[in-house]
Amino acid sequence: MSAPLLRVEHLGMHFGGLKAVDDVDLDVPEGEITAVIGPNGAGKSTFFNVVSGFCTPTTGRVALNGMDVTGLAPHRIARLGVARTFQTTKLFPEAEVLDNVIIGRRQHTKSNVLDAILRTKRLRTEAAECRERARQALEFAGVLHLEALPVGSIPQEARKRVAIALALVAEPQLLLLDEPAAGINEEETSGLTALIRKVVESGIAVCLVEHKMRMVMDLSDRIVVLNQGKKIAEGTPEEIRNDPTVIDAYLGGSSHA
Amino acid sequence: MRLPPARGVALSLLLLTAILFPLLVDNPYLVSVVITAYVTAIAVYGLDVMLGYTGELSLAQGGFFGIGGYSAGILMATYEVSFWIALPAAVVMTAALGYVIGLAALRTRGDYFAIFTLAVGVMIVIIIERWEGVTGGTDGLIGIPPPSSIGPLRFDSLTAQYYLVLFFLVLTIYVVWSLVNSLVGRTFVAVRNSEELARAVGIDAGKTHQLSFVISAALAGLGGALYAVFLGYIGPAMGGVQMTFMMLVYLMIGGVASLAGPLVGTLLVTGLMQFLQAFAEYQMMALGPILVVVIIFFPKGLAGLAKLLPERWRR
Repeated sequence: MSAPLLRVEHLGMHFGGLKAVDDVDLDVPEGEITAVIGPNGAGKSTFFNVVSGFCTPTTGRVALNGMDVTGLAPHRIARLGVARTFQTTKLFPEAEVLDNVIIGRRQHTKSNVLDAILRTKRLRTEAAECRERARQALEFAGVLHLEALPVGSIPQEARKRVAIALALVAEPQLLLLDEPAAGINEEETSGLTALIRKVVESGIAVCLVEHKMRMVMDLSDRIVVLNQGKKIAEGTPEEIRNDPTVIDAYLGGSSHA
Repeated sequence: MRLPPARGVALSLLLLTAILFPLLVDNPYLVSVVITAYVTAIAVYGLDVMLGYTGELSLAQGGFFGIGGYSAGILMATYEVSFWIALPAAVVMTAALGYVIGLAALRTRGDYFAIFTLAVGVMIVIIIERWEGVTGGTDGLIGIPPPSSIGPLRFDSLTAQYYLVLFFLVLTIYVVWSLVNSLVGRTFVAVRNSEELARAVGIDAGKTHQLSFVISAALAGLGGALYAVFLGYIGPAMGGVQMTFMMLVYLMIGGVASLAGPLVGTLLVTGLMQFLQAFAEYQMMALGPILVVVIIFFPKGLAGLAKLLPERWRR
């Protein structure tokens, strides 16, 4: 049996006495959407930060296609095919949409300072290729018509699509989406849901952290529920919906709050 | 990357003016002021690579300027090495020191990086002052000869030195332009914009900072070496913290992260300071308010203002 795309084993991330992530196991198989849900402070974002290399876990290991990547720097993990978005989009508002996305292709290019100064053929070919790929990614995300506008001037939903295009332009195997639907309305959310489905259909596995339950239930093949850093349930949307532990964590948690 | 025709014409006119300048202006003092501004501007371009495009303020730029100057000066005055070898050697030496200092300094970011590099700048001056046997200490280094001639090309006249410095200034602007308009420049800007996002899309932020810092130091070294050779004598003050802050003033007034900014700012402020020289220490009193006004009303400097005005007129 071949290793899953992403396998996380006994993952723990402790900050002093706080166990933000505590002994979590999780597999993300190829071609599926796996959602990570849980109440605020459940450790979802920390989980993403560990998988994408921004935090080195206290315990456990992260493996990509069977290869141990625990503790690798974020750019190394990105180059191994893991792309991510951030809860708050970190795009450069003053720059044009296309310029924001081109940089996502940089990891596949080799041009260096000498290429730049001597204006070599390699630089020109790579620059043209990056531009073309960036336009394709924007088209895929449905925002190609905005390519020449500054990011700061386009609507919130379009920015989220641009952020996804930026993640996709590198042609990752795995896309980590950190609350992609935060701050947008219902109608826009369903548009974004369709885009995420399209991403998976194109052969990219998605791991999703999201609060909007309808989106999670619509999209996910499997759902993992975290509470206070621990995995409390795992299963299909149907199983999770009826899981008493989950209901208790959510309803119990919020009624006490 | 091709220039729009209007910009091409404007650039050619500017270059023509720069070329004709020493022939039209029969004032050696003015020509030497402009030469000093050009060599300083080269180092200011370096400062802008790091601050404007990569987003980190290096306050060791004056120090690197001094290292470039003293490297070239010592090689030429003490060891009688030809200018044509001493100049690239000075650039390489400054870049190499920049690399080593960067290894430590770039473990910090933002304010901490600025303070760290400020301390480096102070240390460089102290080393220059104390290492008397080599640098001449506080007395400075004298007797740096003009560049030796290449065939029929002689560099002992002011006009010839003007063209030599102009050549290196144009080269610097070309290098910075080609970097900025390339994937390398995009990488710098990505790191400036958000280091976190840059790392998430596979960019080695540490390596990018290091590269930018080395280029920045190399340009300071080039400017410093030309400065030493043009003046013929140098003192520790050329590597001082005040030099760094003057460069920063030139850059802020000219405009950060714009290709014209460093040159415009350096020429303008140097010119203004010469004009105000009669007022001696009150020079700074004039500069302060100007800086404040520019930062508040034109945060992108005069170059930013020049970009803004045509847009307003069109409306």
